[in-house]
Amino acid sequence: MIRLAWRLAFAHGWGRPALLAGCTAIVSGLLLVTLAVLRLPDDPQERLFAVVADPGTRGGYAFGAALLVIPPLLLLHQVVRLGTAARERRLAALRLAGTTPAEVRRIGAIEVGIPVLAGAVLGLAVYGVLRLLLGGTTSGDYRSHGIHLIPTTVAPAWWEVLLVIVGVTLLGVAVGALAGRRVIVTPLGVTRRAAAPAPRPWGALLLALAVAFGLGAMKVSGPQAHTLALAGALGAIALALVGVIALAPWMAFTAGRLVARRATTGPVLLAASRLVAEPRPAARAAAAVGGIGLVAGGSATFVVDVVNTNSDDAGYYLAPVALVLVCLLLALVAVVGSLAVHSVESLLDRRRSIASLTALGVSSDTLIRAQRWETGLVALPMALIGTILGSSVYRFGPAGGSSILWFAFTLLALALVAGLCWLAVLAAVRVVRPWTLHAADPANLRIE
Amino acid sequence: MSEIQFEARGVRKAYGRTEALRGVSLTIGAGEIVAVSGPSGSGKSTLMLALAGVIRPEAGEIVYDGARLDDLAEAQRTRLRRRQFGVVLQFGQLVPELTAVQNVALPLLLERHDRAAARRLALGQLERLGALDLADALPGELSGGEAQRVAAARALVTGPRVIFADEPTGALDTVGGERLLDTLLSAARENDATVVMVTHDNRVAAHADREIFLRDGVIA
Amino acid sequence: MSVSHVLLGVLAGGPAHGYDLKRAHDERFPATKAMLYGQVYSALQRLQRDNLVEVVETVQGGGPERTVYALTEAGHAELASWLEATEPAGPYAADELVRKTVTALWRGADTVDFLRRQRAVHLDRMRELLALQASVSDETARIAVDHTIFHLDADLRWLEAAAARVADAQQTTTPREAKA
Repeated sequence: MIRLAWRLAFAHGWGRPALLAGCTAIVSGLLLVTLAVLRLPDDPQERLFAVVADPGTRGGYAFGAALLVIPPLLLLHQVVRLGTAARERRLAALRLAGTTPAEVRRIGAIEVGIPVLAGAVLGLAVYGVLRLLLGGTTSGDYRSHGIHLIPTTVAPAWWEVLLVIVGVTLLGVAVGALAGRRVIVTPLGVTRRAAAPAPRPWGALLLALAVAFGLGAMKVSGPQAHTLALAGALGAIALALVGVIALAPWMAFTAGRLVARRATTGPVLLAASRLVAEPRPAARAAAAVGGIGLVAGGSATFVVDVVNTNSDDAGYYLAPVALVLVCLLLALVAVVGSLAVHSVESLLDRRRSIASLTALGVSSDTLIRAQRWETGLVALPMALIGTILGSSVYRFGPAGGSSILWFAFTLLALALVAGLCWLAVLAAVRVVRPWTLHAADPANLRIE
Repeated sequence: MSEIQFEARGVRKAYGRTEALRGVSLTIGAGEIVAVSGPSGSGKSTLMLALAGVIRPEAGEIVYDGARLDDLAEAQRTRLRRRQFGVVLQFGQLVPELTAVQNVALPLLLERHDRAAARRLALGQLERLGALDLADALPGELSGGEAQRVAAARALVTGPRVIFADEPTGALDTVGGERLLDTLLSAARENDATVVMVTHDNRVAAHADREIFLRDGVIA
Repeated sequence: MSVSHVLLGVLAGGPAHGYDLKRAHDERFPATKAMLYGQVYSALQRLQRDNLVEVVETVQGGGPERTVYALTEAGHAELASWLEATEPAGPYAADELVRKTVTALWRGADTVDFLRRQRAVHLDRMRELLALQASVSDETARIAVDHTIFHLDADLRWLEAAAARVADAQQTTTPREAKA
């Protein structure tokens, strides 16, 4: 069985497993960084940026680092579904050949588990590289133009490392299992789809819980403070992650329904109806955008915090924010990829219907506009909500300072996120253009 | 009725190494009902798509209403198709996430009709085809015959001058197919529309005024 | 013969004149040649001789067409057993058409022309039948016409298949001369 799963994992080349491993590597690396930071004594034995060195802001910094885990995890969810049609058919064929649902589930888990485990272990290397590039220095040879964000005098304990590896692997497998649920139920695959049940906003509940956990983690004190804080932060992240994934389909469905009723032009009607009919694929891609929003919102509040507490050391504090912004841009690239993957899947599934629209006289311009609407209708709200959520949670947690400033910076973050999101939508649709034109090709109409 | 609407001269089209059309010349008069028949692989669908301006031939000319069709830019051809042609295919042509009435109204929406007016016209067309009760159903809930009736309504809703049909009864049984054909052809005759119907079914071909028989990419 | 059985079927609905019988047959089978009175009477004679029908009323001074016939017990039984027995599945070889087509295709000259001419004849007939079907309002009459149409369709498909078979055979024997 492991051999079968191994072959399935690499059935379509190295791309998918490599991406999966990459995601978990980033996740586990970031978690190790967080652990190291939390292990620092009140008075660190090395030169670090004040945001890390100061025990007051340290919790928030750790939380922020941990939050960065969300976009890669959401991307992981998306990648698991790469090539989903072929994968579903493969697994359905296994079912027809006599594999039990439990066995198929196991195979699916191993198929995802192998790259995910590899990535989790690779996270150690990621941590090492980050430490090397961004590590603190022991006093004495202070490099004036280096970035010192990651402690080098302390490191996570061996059991903590093991916990991270196992935890991340399990999380990765869980996300993968979440993505592969439907195949177990229908061994014959799906031919004529009856309308799937409408999604419900359970995600909102989970997000509320996540917020509670997060706040609790940051306010905790006492002898076991840092472990509790870590546990709380991790719990908050897991809940936020699941909450965002769970809420996204409902958002897509509702947005689609609201707009479809008022649609006055062809592209908008097509896009909105598509969201109502199949909210989940668009939602998956948009969930990643929500994750980015979360981080952006948190960063905005963090900046306000910095500006308010230590004005003369401000430069050292703001540098990590710049770093975070760079990470966000990278995450955005990942999101564009995500959105593009979703679009390509959706196009390939509907080739004949799209080609017949072309025969009817629908221009490719209209199709592209419909795609932009379909992606944008979900991505933008998710991004904005994520930003507000991230910003508010951090505000009511460790951050203090003037409310007006916080409000202003949050608005700035919202505008920035909205702008970037729209750019991502445009970019994703542009990237997918060859597939759109291919789907619209009248050759798809040929039966003879 | 006998003024020439379509003219094809020496049309050639290949898909990769396969030559689908190897020099086809014909004329079709306005208001004629023409069947394009022939065995499978003879190039019938390709000829229809070329006449409809959906694909461009590699050689030869296609003239519609006295003007070169294959010469026009993609945008112009698309606009022409939207306004003057209606298309019915064998299956799988409705947008699965739109209801029947939304599907029928789509060409009107794309022509910037007002939403309420488009819906009214769409419902009227569905009624004329005996499919009014299907208005709010999704394509996935319709039987083959019902879906074809909705597709026919969509093809007719803009009041096209030419209707192209590719095996419209192909996925239907005898009685269902005959009913659809009767409805489609009588609607076309009412509006003096030309019909170009691709079929490999001899009984369907016999419903047309005239037959163009293709074999191996040429007229036999 | 089967024409007699059709008459038995008409009489199952109740006694009728000879004229009514002819009219009923022509209505049910509009595509076939109309029955001649002579055929009706010779059929009725035979049926009478076999005791399947009997005369129930004669009109003085009226000709044979005014005689009223009815089914006997034996007649009912005969009709029932005929309807119960199935018809053999074939062969439907329309001898002249088959002989002519095969000869033309194997000769190899003007095959395209021959096929086009024969196809036109069949299609024209199909068009006539379709028009006939549209003009008739009785659904059962349409069923009878359908049979002829379907068989013309079968003939046309057979013509194409025959042409394809010949082309196939010629290609395997003389590949260079195949695409003339």
